Amino acid sequence: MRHYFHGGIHPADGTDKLLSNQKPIRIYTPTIVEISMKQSLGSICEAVVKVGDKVSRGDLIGKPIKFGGANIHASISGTIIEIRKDSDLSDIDVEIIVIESDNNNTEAKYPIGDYEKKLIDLSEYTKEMIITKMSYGGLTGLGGAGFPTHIKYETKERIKCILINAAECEPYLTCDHMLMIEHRYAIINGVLLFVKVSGAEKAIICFEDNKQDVAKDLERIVSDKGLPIEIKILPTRYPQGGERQLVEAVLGMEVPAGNLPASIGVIINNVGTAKALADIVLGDEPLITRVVTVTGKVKDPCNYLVPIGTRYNELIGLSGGYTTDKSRVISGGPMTGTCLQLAGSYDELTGSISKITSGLLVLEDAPKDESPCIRCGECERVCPAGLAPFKIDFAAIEGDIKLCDMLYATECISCGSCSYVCPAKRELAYRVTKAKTEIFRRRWESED
Amino acid sequence: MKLKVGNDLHEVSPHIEINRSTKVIMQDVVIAMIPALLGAIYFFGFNSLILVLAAVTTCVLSEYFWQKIRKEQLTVSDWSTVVTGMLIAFNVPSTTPIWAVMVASIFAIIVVKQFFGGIGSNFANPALMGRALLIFLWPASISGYVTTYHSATDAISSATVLGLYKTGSDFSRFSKWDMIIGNIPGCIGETSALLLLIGFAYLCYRRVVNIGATSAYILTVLLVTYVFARDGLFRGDILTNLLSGGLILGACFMMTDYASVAPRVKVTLAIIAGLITAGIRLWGMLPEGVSYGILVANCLSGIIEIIIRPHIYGVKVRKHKG
Amino acid sequence: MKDSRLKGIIALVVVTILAFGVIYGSKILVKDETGNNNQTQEDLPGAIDVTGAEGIVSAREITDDSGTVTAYSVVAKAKGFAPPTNPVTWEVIFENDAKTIKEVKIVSHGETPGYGAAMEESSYLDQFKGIPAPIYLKGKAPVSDAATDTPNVSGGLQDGIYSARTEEADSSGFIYLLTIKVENGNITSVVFDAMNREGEYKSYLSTVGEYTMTEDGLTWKEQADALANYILENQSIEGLTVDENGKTDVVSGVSISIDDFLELTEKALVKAASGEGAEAIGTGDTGVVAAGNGEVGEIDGVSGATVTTDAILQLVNNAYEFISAYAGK
Repeated sequence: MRHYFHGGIHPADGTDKLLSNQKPIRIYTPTIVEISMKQSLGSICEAVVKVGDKVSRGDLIGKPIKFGGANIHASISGTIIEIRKDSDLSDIDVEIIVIESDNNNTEAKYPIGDYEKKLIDLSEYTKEMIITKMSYGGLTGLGGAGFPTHIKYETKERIKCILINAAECEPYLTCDHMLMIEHRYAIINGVLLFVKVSGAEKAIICFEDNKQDVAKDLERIVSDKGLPIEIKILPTRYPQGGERQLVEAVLGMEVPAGNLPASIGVIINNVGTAKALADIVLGDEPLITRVVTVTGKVKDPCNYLVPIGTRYNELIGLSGGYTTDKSRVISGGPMTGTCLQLAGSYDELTGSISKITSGLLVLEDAPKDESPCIRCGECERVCPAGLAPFKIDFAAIEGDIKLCDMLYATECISCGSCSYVCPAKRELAYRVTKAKTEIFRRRWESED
Repeated sequence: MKLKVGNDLHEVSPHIEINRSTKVIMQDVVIAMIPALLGAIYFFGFNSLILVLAAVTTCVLSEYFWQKIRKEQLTVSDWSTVVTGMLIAFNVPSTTPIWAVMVASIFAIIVVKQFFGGIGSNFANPALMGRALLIFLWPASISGYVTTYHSATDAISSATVLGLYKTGSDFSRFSKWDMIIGNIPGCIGETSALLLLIGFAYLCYRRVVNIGATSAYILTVLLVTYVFARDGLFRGDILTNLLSGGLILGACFMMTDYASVAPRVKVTLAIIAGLITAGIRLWGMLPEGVSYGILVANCLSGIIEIIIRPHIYGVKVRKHKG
Repeated sequence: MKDSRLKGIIALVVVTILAFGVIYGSKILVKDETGNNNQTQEDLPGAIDVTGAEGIVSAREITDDSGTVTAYSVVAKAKGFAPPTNPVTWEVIFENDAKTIKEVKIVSHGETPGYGAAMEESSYLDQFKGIPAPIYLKGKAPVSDAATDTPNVSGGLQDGIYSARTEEADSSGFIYLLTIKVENGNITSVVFDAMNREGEYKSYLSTVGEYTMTEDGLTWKEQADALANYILENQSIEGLTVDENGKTDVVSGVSISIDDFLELTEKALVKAASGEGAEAIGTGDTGVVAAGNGEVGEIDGVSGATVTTDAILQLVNNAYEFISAYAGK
C-alpha cells in the first residue's frame, strides 16, 4: 500500500514546530470571554440567553438556526454582560455573547476522570446515546472546517474505517501534538467511542513522521490489547491532513468527486475531536475548551488550554507580545489560516478563540507582488487534487467560470500549496477557491 | 464576478511562501550558463562575449521599450530577457555579425515573446525562434563555423563535426576528448559538453529543472541515431551524436524552458523533440536538428496536453453524477 | 534556500575552475607531446635546420658510431584530400647519397578510409624502398637523355606529354583533364576525362552507369573518346565547330558540351608548340628506366585517390630537393 498522496509540498523545515512543542500546555482562564455565535463556516447559532442572565460553565447559550450547526455552551461561569452584533469577514451579522466571570474558581480545565488514565469499558454506551451526547455537547471538528461531528455519524453508508487525523501538517501548529503527549488515554478512549458509534471495523491513527515519539507511545498503549486501533506513520508532507489526501495516503483509495468520504466507508476525525468526544461522553463536559498554539514572532511561544471565547489579545499578551514591528497575525495555520491583523499593536487585535482556532500565529510581514505566470508548472505538480491552478487562475481572471468548471476548479481543496510554490507569487489558491465558490453558487441557482 | 489581482490580496492565505521567485529562477539559469560562456570566450575568443553582450542588451532594451510604449507592467527586472539573450548568442557561431544577433534578439523579444503576451505566454522558445529567423533570412550569417583557438591550426572555417559526420567525411582530427571539453567548431555555447553539464548540475541542485525531460530528449536522440545509422542498423556513433552538436545545450537549457514546454507533459514532448531531432540528423538536409526538434515540440505542447489528460482527484472513480 | 544558492554557486565556481584546469591542462599535455616530439628530433644528433623550407617538418642526419653520415631522415608534409589541418606527413629516409630512398614511414594523415588511406598498406610503402628520388608516377617518368633523341620539332609540335586541366570545378564538381602525347611531331594519343572531388573519373562513372547523359545515346566516355579520335585523325581542332549551346555536330553522336574540351586541347597544343612543360614520354610499363644520372624512381599511384597520390609525390620530391640541397649533391 502506498503512503503517498498526489502532489504536496514541504512548506517548512521543522524548526517552526520546535518553537512551541518544547513546553507543556499552560492553562489560562480569562475573566471575560466573547463567544461568537458563529463558531465555524456555515454554522450560525442564535443566543438562547439574554443580557443579565447568570450562566454556569457548560450551560447551553446558543442553538443552531439551521441544519449543519452545533450547540454552543458557556465556557466560564458568570454573568452575560453584553450581546452585540458584529459582522464577520463574510459580512453576515453574528451575535457575540460576552460573559464576565463572577469568581475565579471556574478555571478552564479538562474534567478529571478515569478515562484520562486508563481504557474505559464502553459496553454500556450505545450508538444513540453517544450521538445524542455528541449533538448536545456541540462537538465539531477541531481541525479545520468545524463540521458538526454528529452529522458525520448519522450517515446511512456502512462505515468500515475511521481515520484519526493526527498529522497536524500545517507548519507551526503543535496543539494536537501536545494534546497527544498529555492526554493519550483520553484520546484512545475517544477513538474507541468513534469506532463504537460508527460500527467500523477499525480506526487508524495517522501520524506524520515528525511525531514519532507520540506515535510510539500510543502504539504501546494499544498494542496486544486486541483493540481495533492501528497506528500509521506517514512521511511529513503538506496537506497530509486533508481528508481526501489522508484517505489516499493511508488507504490508497480516492474519495469520488462530489462525495463525502463516507461514500467509500470512511470517516475522518481530528485527534483533538477524539479527545473532546471523550470529554463530552465520559467527562460530561460539552465542548467549551480547546488547546491553542500561540507561536511565531511572540516572546514566549507556547500552547494554551483556554475556554472558547478567550480574546486573542489576551493570549498574545500572555505570550509576551510581538517581537516584530511588521506583524501579521493569523488565526489557524500559515497555509489556510485567516489574517487577523497587519502591522499593529496587539491591544488593537479583536476577536476570540472559536472551536476551530488551532493556533494564533504571528509572522513577519513581507511585501508580496504578483508578477506574470511563467508557466513553470510547479502549482500543477504540487496540487493534491491534480488541477492546473495557473490555468484556472487565467480563466478566473477573465471571468470564464465555465472554463473554470471544465478545469475542475470544483475539486480544489483550498490547501494553498499552489500559492506557496508559485515563483511569480500569484494568489492562485485565492482565485481558484473564488472560482469554485462561484461555480457552486451558479449550480445552486440553476437548480432552484 | 470580480476578482482582485495584485497588491490588494496581501492578506489572503497562505501566509508563507517559498523562498524563490521568477527572478531567482532566471538568475539561476544565467548563473548556470556562465561556465559555458567562459568556455566560449576561451575557445572562440572575446568575440563571443561581445555577441552575448549585444544579444542580452538588445533583448533587455527591446522589452523595456516595448513595455514602456505599451504601458504594460515592466518585467525587465525578472532577468528572463537576459536568459533569452544569452541563449540567442549561444546558438550562433562566433563569426556571426553583431547586427544579425541584434535582429534575432529584437524578433525573439518583440514578436515571439511580447506579441503573445510576454513572459510565460510565448508559444515557442524565443531564442530558438530568433535563430530560426536568421537561418531563414540570412543563412550565410550564421553558418561561419570556425575551429577553436586551441585546435591544431589557426582559426579557420570548418564544418561542424556533426556536418562532417553527416556527409560521411572524416572527422578524426577532432578527438572525443576535444568534443567533451568543447574544442570543436560549432555555435558559441554548444560545444563544451563538460561546462554545459556543470551548469545543468547547478540547475538541478537548485531544483530549477529536473532531469526528466532532459534525459528523455537525449536518450531518444541517441537511441534513434544509434539504431538507424548511416552505416547500417545499430551502428550509430553514440558519442559523436551526443557531444558534437547542440544536443546538450538544447536538452539542458531549451527543452527545460517553462513556457513553451508544458511541464506536465514535458517528457512526452521531449521524446517527440528527440524523434524529430534524430530524424533531421539522419535523413534531413541539415546536419543538426536540435532547434527544429524543440520548436516542433513547442508547437505540439498544447495538443499533447489535451491528449494526455491529468488525473483529477476523485474524478475517475466518481460514483454519482457530481 | 538562500544557503542552498550560496552553496550551489560556490560548488559551481569550484567545479568550473576544475573544469578549466582540465581543459587547459589537456591543452598543455597535447602541446607537450608535440613539443617533446620536436624536442627529441632536435636533440637527436645531426638535426638539420629546416627553417624556411616549406613543407619540411624536420630533418636530421643519421650517423654511425664513427660520426659518418649513413643516412638522412626528412619529415615532410603536403596537403592531401583532408583539410590543411591534417596534411599527409611522411618521414622519408634517404641513403647517404641523399638521393636513394631507403625507407618511408607514415607519420600522420587524414585521408579517407578506403581511398587515400590505402597508402598505409605495406605493399604500397614497400615500393619506395631503394628507388632514387625524384619519383614519378609509373609512365610519367622523364626519359633519360641517353634514351631520347632531341625533341622532334617537325609539324611544329615538340615531342612529349602535355596536359591541361580546368582550374575550377564545374557545377557538378568535376575538373576536366586533357593529356596529349606528341611523338615525332604527331599527336599519338589524346585522353580527355574529368575527375570529381572523390577522385572518381567521369569515364569510369559513365561506364558503370553512375553518370548517365541520356538513356539511349552514347555514354560520356564514348563521346569523349569520339572527340579524342577526331583530334587524332585531324591532328588539330580546326573544323570542330561549336554552336551557340557549346555543342558540336561535327562528331556524330556527341551531345556533350565541348567548350572545355576545345579549351584544354588548345592549351595543350600551345604547350606542345613551345615544348614548355613537357613531361618526357616514358617507356610504358617497363618500370624503371635509366635516367641522366642514374635510375628513375617510379611508383604506383594510390588507386582511386589522385589527390593523395599527388600529395605523396609532392612531399617525397620536396624532401629530396631539401636534402639534396643540404647535402650539396
